[in-house]
Amino acid sequence: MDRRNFFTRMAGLAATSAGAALITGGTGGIALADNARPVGMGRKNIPNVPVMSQEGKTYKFFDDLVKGKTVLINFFYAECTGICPRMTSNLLKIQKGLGDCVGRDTFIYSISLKPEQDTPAKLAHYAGMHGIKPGSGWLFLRAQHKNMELLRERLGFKDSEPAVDADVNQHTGILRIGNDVYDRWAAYPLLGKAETIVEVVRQMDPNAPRHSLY
Amino acid sequence: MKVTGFSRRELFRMSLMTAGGALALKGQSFNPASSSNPGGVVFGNTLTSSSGLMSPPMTPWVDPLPIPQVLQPLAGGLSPAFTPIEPARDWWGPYVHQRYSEFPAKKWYQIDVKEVPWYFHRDLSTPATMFSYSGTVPGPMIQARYGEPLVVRFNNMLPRNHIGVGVPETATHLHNMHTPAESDGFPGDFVTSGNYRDQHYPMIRAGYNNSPATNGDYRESLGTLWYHDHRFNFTSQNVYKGLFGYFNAFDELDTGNENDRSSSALRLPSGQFDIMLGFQDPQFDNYGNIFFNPFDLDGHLGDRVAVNGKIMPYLDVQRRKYRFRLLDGGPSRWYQFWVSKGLPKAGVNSWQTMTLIANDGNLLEGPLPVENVMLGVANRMDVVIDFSNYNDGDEIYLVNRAEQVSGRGPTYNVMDPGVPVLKFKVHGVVKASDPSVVPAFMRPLPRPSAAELANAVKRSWVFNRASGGWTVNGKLADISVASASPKQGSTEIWTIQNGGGSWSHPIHIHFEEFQILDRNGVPPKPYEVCRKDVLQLGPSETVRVFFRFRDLLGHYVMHCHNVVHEDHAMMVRWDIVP
Repeated sequence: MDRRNFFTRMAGLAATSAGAALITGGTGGIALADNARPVGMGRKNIPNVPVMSQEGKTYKFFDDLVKGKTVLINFFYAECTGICPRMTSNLLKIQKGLGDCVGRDTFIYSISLKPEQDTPAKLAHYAGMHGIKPGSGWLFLRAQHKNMELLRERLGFKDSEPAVDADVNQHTGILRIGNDVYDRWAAYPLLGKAETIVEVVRQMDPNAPRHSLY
Repeated sequence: MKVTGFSRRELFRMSLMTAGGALALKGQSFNPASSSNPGGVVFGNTLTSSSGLMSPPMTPWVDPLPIPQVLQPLAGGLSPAFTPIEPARDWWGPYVHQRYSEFPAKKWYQIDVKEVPWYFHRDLSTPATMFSYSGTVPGPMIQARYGEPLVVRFNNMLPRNHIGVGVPETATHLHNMHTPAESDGFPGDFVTSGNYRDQHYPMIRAGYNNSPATNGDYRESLGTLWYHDHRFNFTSQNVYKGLFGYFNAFDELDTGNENDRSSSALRLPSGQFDIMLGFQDPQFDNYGNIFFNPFDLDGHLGDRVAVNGKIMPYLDVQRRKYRFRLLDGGPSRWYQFWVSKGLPKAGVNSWQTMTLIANDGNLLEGPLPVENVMLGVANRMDVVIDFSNYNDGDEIYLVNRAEQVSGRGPTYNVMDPGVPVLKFKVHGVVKASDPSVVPAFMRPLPRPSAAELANAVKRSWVFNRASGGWTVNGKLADISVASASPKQGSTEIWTIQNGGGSWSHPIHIHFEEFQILDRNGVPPKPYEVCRKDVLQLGPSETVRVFFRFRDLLGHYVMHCHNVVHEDHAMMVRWDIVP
């Protein structure tokens, strides 16, 4: 039988683990070598394309807006009469729930699906209409169409059904949630309960206090 | 090829009867010569990854199949000691272990959840960095007996500041034990790094309240289970990262001893001839680490199949019967397993018969000879393969023939020849002695009575897709609200419907096993006449299932077990109330 081989291997691994102090628990996890990290995660996946905010400022998407931060990302457009108004209104609740960390280490990005229409002035008007103040940590962003498509693809906002994906009226209502410091990435449908999403966002920080989801 | 009376999906799903006269489709429905027909056979023998990546080459059949070691109980109990009234610890509690005084633990276990380097194959240049239960992927086997309650301490030693796929926080679900809610691994009950949670498994059978003298209804015993992480919003990453292990339950019928002389003992193949086989499909990068794309919400498909944590392993077998407990460990791939004498070749019928004895871990009334078994994520199928009629040196392969190209589910095409995932090397010039038996009648099914059906509360659940996420009855997971509150002691009939035309969902309901009343309006096929806990819900299907809610109270969940769908947010909470 193969049991003996398996046990031998187990014993070997146990010895290795102890020797390398991998089993640390608590707060003492060791940093893994770069090539020991699974590839394809956020920081390697997120395009560093230029984007412009409702305030008319230009940013490099990854370097300036994602690196070292906790981020909430959705796609929308100003004239959308489908799910966008409800998404924006839920994001407002989420922003309120997250409190003053928004703008400090946590940022919200709403990226326009119709950058040709959504000029900075129009985005600023949209933000103002919803009571979102400049400097509050919530940016409404436009990118060149091809860069918007790249962001959409890499951040997982494309629908795998081509017909659905091609129809902007059926665009996704997903909220991408990430913490670049820990390369931790999750997603949640943005029309979900605001309290749940607030807690999911808080829990992206391993050292933040946990609160019950129920 | 269209076979009159059955849809392609039914043909695909069903275990084809090769004896008993039900159906004889061998060499007929899956004849490659007819593959130009829609829904027939597709040529090919590689698995498609959802990422488009290809794993590095690996030499087949060079690593022995790992057999997870049996976890031993702690001789001196737990330290610090278990407390039936849990104080506030970590960020949760206090809470009470319901009915603990009635079912005090007779055995104590501890599982350390920790990071471990893991070689999925000897040819990979570096180990994958995995999460593990007790240092192996999958974790150790717990062998439990009805009437012997146990407590398992899940001790989270994962690095708090872990970087990358997975979160170092765990809620461990023993799928699908009849477990008090506070020990069920409810997705919100997760433990952070440096803390532990004690889970109490009373080892009572459903129906306990009606017949405590027999420890519940012996027809409700469970057999093949597994435990896995269930952390809210991160189940897919954590299970993929290695957090799953095996749990087998034994009772006076399925005693785990093929030499048992007791009159009730079934004497199924046991001990070293009773082997659990868990399948996951990792995707490897060039170094040997595993790849997972958290930005793909359809589901994860890797291009390799790990069997008990090894790619293309082999198992030396004697010329006798073996019980294999097949488990689809996900995250998103469905399997259809066939057994081939010799390596399968396109167009060549090398397919063998096996005997299905249990579905989702629950023994059938009688064994069914089958040519294949299909598993959605978290399904278990126990089969007996009899190697006695093969010869010394024969090579038998377990082959996955389910075509799947995206997380949306299988295409319901059969691959030809398919992808061999495990090789059995037959040894023995003469047949081995084999005291094991596969009895014609195993475990009776506690069918619903007319009164139970008539009095059943009815509910409907539609599983659908909306705006890139996943819904149940149009709602997204909110574990703070119970979407249904069945009364303890009641019976219910749930209509479970797939609202999406091209998606398949394996639907898992915690705590109570269900029985299928009908699938798309027709009675279930023989392999689904049983107690189940994961329902294969194909595109546009509607299935009615029957439940009895008994014994314990509290919060449980129902969710899609394509764990990527579950995380985004195809799950509902339901409660059993007094």
